[in-house]
Amino acid sequence: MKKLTRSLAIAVLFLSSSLSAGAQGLRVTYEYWYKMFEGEKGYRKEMNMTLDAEGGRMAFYSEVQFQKDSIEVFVFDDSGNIKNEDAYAERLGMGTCFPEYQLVDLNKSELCQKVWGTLQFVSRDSYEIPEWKLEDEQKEFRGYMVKKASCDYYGRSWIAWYCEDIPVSAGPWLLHGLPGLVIHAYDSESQFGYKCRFVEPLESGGSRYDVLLEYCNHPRLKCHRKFWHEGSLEQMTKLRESAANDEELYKQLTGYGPSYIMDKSGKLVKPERKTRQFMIPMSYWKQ
Amino acid sequence: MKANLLLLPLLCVCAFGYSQESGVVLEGRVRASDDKAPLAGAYVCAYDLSRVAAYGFTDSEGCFRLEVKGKVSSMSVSLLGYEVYKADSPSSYQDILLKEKKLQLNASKKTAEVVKQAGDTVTYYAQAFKEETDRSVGDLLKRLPGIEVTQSGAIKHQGKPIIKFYVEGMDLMGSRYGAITNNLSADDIAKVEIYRDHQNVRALQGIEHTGRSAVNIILKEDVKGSWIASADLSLGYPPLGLFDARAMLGRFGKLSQDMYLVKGNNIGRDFASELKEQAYFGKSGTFSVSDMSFDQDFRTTLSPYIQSLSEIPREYWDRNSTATLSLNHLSKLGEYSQLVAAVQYAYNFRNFASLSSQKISFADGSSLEIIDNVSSASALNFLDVKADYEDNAPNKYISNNFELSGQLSSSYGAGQGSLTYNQNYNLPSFKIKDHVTTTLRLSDKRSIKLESDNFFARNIHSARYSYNTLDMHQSLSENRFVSDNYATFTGSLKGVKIKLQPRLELKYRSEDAALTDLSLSPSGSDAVSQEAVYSLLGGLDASSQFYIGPIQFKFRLPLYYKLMKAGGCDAVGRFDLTPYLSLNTFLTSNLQAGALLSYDRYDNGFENLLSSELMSTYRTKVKRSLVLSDRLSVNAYLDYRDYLEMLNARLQFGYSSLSSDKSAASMYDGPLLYSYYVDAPTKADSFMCALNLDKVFRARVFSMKFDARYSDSRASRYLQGELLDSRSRSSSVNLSLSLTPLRWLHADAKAGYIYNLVDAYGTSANHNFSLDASLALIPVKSLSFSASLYYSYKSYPGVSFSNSPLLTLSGEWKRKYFTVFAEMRNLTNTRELRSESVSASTTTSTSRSLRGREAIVGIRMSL
Repeated sequence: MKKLTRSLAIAVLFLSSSLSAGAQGLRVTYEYWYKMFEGEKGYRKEMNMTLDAEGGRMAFYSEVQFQKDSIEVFVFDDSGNIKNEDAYAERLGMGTCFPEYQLVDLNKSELCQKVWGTLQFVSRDSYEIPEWKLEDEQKEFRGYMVKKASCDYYGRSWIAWYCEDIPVSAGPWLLHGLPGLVIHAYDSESQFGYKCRFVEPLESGGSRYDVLLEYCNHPRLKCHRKFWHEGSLEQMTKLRESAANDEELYKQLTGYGPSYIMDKSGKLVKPERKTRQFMIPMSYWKQ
Repeated sequence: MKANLLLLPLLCVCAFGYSQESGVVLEGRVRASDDKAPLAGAYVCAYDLSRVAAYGFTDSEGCFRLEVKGKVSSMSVSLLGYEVYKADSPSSYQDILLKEKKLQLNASKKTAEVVKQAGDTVTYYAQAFKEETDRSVGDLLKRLPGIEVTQSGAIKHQGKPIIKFYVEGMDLMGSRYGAITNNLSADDIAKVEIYRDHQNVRALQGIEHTGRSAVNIILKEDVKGSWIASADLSLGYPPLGLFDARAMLGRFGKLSQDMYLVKGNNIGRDFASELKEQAYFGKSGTFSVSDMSFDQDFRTTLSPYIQSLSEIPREYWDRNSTATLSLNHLSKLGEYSQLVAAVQYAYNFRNFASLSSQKISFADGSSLEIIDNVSSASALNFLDVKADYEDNAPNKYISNNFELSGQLSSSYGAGQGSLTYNQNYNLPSFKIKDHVTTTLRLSDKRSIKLESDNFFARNIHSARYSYNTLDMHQSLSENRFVSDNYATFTGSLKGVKIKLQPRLELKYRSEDAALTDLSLSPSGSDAVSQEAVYSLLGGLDASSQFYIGPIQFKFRLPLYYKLMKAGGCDAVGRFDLTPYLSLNTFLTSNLQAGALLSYDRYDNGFENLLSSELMSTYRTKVKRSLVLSDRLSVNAYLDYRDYLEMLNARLQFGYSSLSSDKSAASMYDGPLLYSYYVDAPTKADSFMCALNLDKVFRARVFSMKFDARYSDSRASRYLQGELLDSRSRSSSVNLSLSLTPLRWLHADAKAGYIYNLVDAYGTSANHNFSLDASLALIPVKSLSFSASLYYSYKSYPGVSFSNSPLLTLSGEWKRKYFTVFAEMRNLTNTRELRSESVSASTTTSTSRSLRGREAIVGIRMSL
């Protein structure tokens, strides 16, 4: 644990060195619940999705993934070999997490999204604010008085509950633009949703926006270059969905064959395929 | 006319706004309602009924412009820290004033980072900085940027002594916090918080700024509120019987705290400096440790000066037997009130030997050489009992500190050389002291503080000197009483902070002195004096603080009338006016610049009105005189501080000019010295510039401290009746590096170089280089080996020498509840350390005997 703490400490220190000054903002932690595959029973959960909102710039990311990525350079060498067994073990011990983040600059209407994994997808596009409809309904949620708003956005209908008492126009994922912080949001089919867990003030320059933006510029390890893909949001979402659901394409892109598992009779068989679903459904781009 | 000018852009905007064929343009400006300052970054949103039609942010001037396709039925403006503004059917130009509203958050979350800054609090996570070889809190604190820790456990932050030291938010030890710094285990620490510009008196928070920092130690969860016990025992050889023992029992809870400490050693380890009062909240303190007295008020002209070797650790040279006991208990009596009771006892016996040769040059080209080969022994017993009460309520602060202390101190010395002599001192002292403070918060901007500091001390000191056929006895019996009372009114008027401090101080000192030549008249007295002197000081200290643009001005004007009178003499009365002006400004968020101009008119102490002459050593007679001085000082600095980057840099310049109405004078009669003042005005001036750089790279991986300094000073004094003008120029460079490139390797090195040029009866140049380095190897977590080295090289006109390297090797093996260690000190068995000092007329060569090679094995236990 000490080793990890040290590595983590060094990494975070290193990362914090590139923070820039700005207006005071908020750091919000959301609980993210979602269904990864179509028809999946029950939800998967990521408890530490973090939103840094400062000066009209939003960074929405997994806290755990951020920490894991921060110490990556201490764990692997440029070829991807493990160079620090202890750090590797402790990185594994951090568990799994939701491997993507979104950066939105409302001042410039810019969007940058990065998806981690064997394949890394970086999307750069203009940011389009949801066309929110403000509704009269209000309720109390986790101690905050929240108001309802809805929109159709990237192929799904979204319902958001925002708090005017926290006058920051920000929310999870790309759900910004309301006159208050989004505390609770979900899609109409309840496939994806967010609940606010904590809100804390963010000191000026405390946002990790710039650090995460730097992660979008190039792979952290040289060996990742061949897995690095950049393009528009549409291009990258399509490529990602295709790779997730097309074994041959995935093999082409990664060099890995499909995994086999051993059934009860001892035979190696291909696992049952599940259809991966994404926040922006493929049908949206086909429209 | 003004209104017309304001309307013009509005008309233009209206014309522009409604000239669009399809849509509306919304423009305007957002400002704060209180000071009308423009607000940047506010979120402006336009709605078409319930639909978000357009949005945007205000620029640095608070202006916004939204181009909306379609209609606009309402708009809102929101910004963190302000109430949301809403308007239906907004006009095309909006001048919006936002009301301030503090954000209420329902929950908060802390994130784990190495260093975190929140307002004036900087938090360092201990684990990221701690080395395997760090034992105490002090060892850990030394690794934090901007922090210095002295051997006595005193802490400085950004070069200034801290104002408060807390453990878990409570101040158990007060100004004697060094005992915690040196004894609480670094393994028990979770975080270290630095509170910058800390004001611990709640009633003064937001009203009075201290400009000094406080340290708060946050313990790990498993030791919070529970008893912590640790003990060390080590034995050494030669000679058989070397020992070092320590036991500590502590508990740091939220309602009560305790710390009980007992220590003893005869291996040269510092005996009790950690129990001394440090510069602290409400105390001036001192960072120097006197071996013969534990309290400044116990010092008299007879208190002997014992030379210390600060350049190397005491363990190399100090031949002592010491024991200390410290009992401290804090009870929280209410939400804001607490009581601290403490007892400190220290015993120290020391002997030392040195050989010195002092060469004094005179104006006529002649010189005098005084050789002194001295062996001496001294013993000190010190006891201090105190009770501190504090009620730190938000609107009212009351504290009372009551203290009783006393010492029994004696010293025996015998020397050969220019004279063969014996010199013995007996220095018993006693003091009773009380300090009471009351502070009332009258409003958010005004407060009043009443303070009274009173003490009585009695020193019954005597000395006996014998050389050749002479046998002298000098006695000095002193009563001191001081009552210092002042009130402080703090308030502000139209942004100007004002402080008024009327003060009344009464000092009284009576002195019975007798110098008896026992060889001539065993029963009679040669010179007896009974005198008393008092001083009454009254006046007002007015200060103000205000801003002009981004520049902070601090102006202080103390005006006092001081009346001093010694028995049989006319009263001396005079005004003291000591104006002070400082300017500070932040050029950027990290870069600060400032300048300070001050003028002082002061004296060297009312006790110097006493006319009696005293023999302070076997060959020195002192005659005191009241000296009035005027000093003009100008200082300027440039500070760069980035707490997250852990970088501190400071560049400073200083000039001071001092003029006095009397000059110090020395008259030698062979080796006998008469020290006195002559009625001749004298001037001295000095200039200095210094650069300090302090940077920590990646927590403990690499840190660096660098400082360079140049000073030039001129002074004059009388020697053998002749005026001696001198000039001293000094340049120094110090570089400290701390490196942990690998988990198992840690290295520290400090190198220093000093070049001095002294002009008096000629020019003398000397060079000094020193290296203090240590290396630690930690092959596995539980095992460590370390080596430390001290080396110096000195060059003076006609002589260059280097000391044999002082080398110590040690190893330790850590288990869960105990650590076994072994140490071999002074491996090269160096027996003496040579040093040289040069002043205007005197060159002194000293050879100080060192402890030889010693082997020590021991065990440390903690529960």
